[in-house]
Amino acid sequence: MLFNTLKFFLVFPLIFVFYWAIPSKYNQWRKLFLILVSYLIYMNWKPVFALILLWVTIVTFAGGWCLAFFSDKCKNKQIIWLFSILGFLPLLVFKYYNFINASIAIGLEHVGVRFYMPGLNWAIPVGISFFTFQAMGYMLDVYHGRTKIEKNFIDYVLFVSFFPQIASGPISKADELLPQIKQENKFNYDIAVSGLRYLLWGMFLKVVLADRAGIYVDSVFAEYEKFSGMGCFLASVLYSIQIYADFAGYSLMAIGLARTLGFNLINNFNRPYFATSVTDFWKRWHISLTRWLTQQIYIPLGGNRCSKVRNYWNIMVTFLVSGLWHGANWTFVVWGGLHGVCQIIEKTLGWRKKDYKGLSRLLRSVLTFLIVTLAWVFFRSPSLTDALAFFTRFASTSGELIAQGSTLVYIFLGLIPVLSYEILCEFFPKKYRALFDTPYVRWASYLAIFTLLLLIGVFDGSSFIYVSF
Amino acid sequence: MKKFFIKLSLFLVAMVSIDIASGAVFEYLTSEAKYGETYSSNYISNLCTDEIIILGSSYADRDYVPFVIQDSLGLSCYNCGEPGCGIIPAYARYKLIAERKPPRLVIYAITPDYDYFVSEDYTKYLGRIRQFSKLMPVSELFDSFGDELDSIRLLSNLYRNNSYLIQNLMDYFVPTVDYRGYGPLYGELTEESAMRDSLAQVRKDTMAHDVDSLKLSYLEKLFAAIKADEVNVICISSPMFAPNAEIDSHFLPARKLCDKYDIPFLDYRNFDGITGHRDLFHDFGHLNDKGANQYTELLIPILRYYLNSGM
Repeated sequence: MLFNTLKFFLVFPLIFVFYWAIPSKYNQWRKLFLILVSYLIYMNWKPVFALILLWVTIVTFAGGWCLAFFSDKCKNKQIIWLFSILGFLPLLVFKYYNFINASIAIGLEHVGVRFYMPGLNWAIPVGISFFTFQAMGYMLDVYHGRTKIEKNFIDYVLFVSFFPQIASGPISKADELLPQIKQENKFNYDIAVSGLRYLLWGMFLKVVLADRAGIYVDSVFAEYEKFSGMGCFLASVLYSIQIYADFAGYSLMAIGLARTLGFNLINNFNRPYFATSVTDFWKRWHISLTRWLTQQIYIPLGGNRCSKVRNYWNIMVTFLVSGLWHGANWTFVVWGGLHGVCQIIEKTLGWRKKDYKGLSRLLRSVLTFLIVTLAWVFFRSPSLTDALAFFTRFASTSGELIAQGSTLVYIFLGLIPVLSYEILCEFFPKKYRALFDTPYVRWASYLAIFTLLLLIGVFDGSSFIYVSF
Repeated sequence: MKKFFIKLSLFLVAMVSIDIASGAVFEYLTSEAKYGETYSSNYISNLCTDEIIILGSSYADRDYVPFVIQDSLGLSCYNCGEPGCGIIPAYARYKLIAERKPPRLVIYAITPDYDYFVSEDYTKYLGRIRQFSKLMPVSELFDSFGDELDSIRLLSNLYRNNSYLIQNLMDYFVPTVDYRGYGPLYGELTEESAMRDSLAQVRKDTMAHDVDSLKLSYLEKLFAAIKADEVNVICISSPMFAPNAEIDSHFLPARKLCDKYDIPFLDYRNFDGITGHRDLFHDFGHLNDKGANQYTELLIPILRYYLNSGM
């Protein structure tokens, strides 16, 4: 069940009321209620997916126990390998089997060997990349001694299946979310109101900006040969806006829903398009994934506590994994690789270490935005051939510039409040806080945003982009 | 918790007030619109009593020129075609017009994809008529094609007028020419675009097409209603630049219904003097303004025949 549907908004108040109706001293019942709700919402996609979720939960929980039981380093290494394979197995099968199969077949064909395995025609369980990483993150943290083993199975089941974050994150760490699960939460007015604020803003980003931009972007990418270079470039920029608004919108809605239930999830985005370098971009974009990759891939490989060449290798591997995490296609690998290469270049030139201000900051932000936008073309395209063909259109002066004028006007209307808010928060945080301390300004903003949402939002219940990861 | 619910309730009350006020504003903008799509939709839904009406998708909207028909036949004519849609708005539009005064002739420009083939979902069609969802024939379509929560969504004036703001404001303030519902296209089909469109058309034609029984049932309801009103009706498949004979079977469901209700089915995909002339086409399937005028003029004797034959 998607968060941007009326069905969810009719169901959620019931969840909210029932949850808070259970007294805090019966926290165990609250947890069971949330587990029931989480699994029912998850099974609403496809009931059998719940078995995959349960499998990953049980495997990683058992893995944590086994690691705690054996204090022998050698045995622990064997255990972590065994349980990692078991834990990642559904992700590998459902998401990567066809990709690996096709890639091997093509590779063998190039050397004159014909070998085909049958493909799988199975739907990918929703959010499998997210909940697998979250659960595996716990087990790996136990292995590395970063967190204590979780002994309460109920708490752990809720940690993995918590419905606000299961479909598209954020990816929580065990030592962030588990203590909150164990706590007897009392209703807090300010946290609940901030939750509704996040929910409203997230919904606005998603249905007003992301979905509207998506209509425009889809029409251009479907027939890019018809459009001029500027027209294709405009579509690329709008795709940057679409993917940010879509993913950040979902994350904010997830955070908002969790807050209304008294839980604090990590903020996943920090105005990424104001980044002054690709490295800075990854500190602001999908923060929870960056953290996971840093802790579970980059640092175990040696991080930056090694030779320069080794460090560059570690960066590349981390970003190739990031690319692959996003999708089973060479376009995602290239996208990840591009980000890795950019970061290596920045490190070599020493660009990351300075604090930029004024015109220098503006230029670097614009350049970073352009680099990220061009990389998104690989992310959006169904194949490398399509991506390269799209890029060749940039040189063309013939063709249409604008696909849908009225759609562009609505996107612009949606961008005004979003840009205003982000610029205020990034460059004038004190002014922002002073402004929003006034109740009239706050209420006028809520009413204006909700009105705009109903008036110019796209309401066909379209999916979030990252739900397919 | 009490404070939370009180503030939430105040917010909802404020939103309901805004919603009611916006309803009045949009009501004014649509009923007083002087130009464009808003004027046209309002005219069709609330005012049209024209003697000849054209229904269908963009094949109706772009290919049939009401002024040519009016000047040649001396009868009022309005083009009620809606690009990107077919039977869903067409059914409602006919019912709304016939309630006031049934026309003398209905020209239905058939488009299998929109009239009876399965498409991704119905929301894009319903979106075109949402502003008039309070009117009975339109609400009937929402009951049939919408989901079970549409009745809740449509309570909101803001939702009902979703995505109409720019159009309504422009059509109130910005003068445009009144083409009586006709939407002219300008520009000619180039050799490059003919090649490209031809490949796209072949790809589209060879895809599997399943019949949507709900859509087809409404096409039948439309024909039955027209016949019950004793209105002359003809069903036309409009000229194409290079028609593909292999998709004749796509028109079989329409032909069967026409046979059942004794409605002439005119297959004009390959129309003498129009088909194959790049200067008359905007793209593979749609005539440009020059082509539409020429085609409509060539159609006049046929329309005169069916008007006089009183079938």
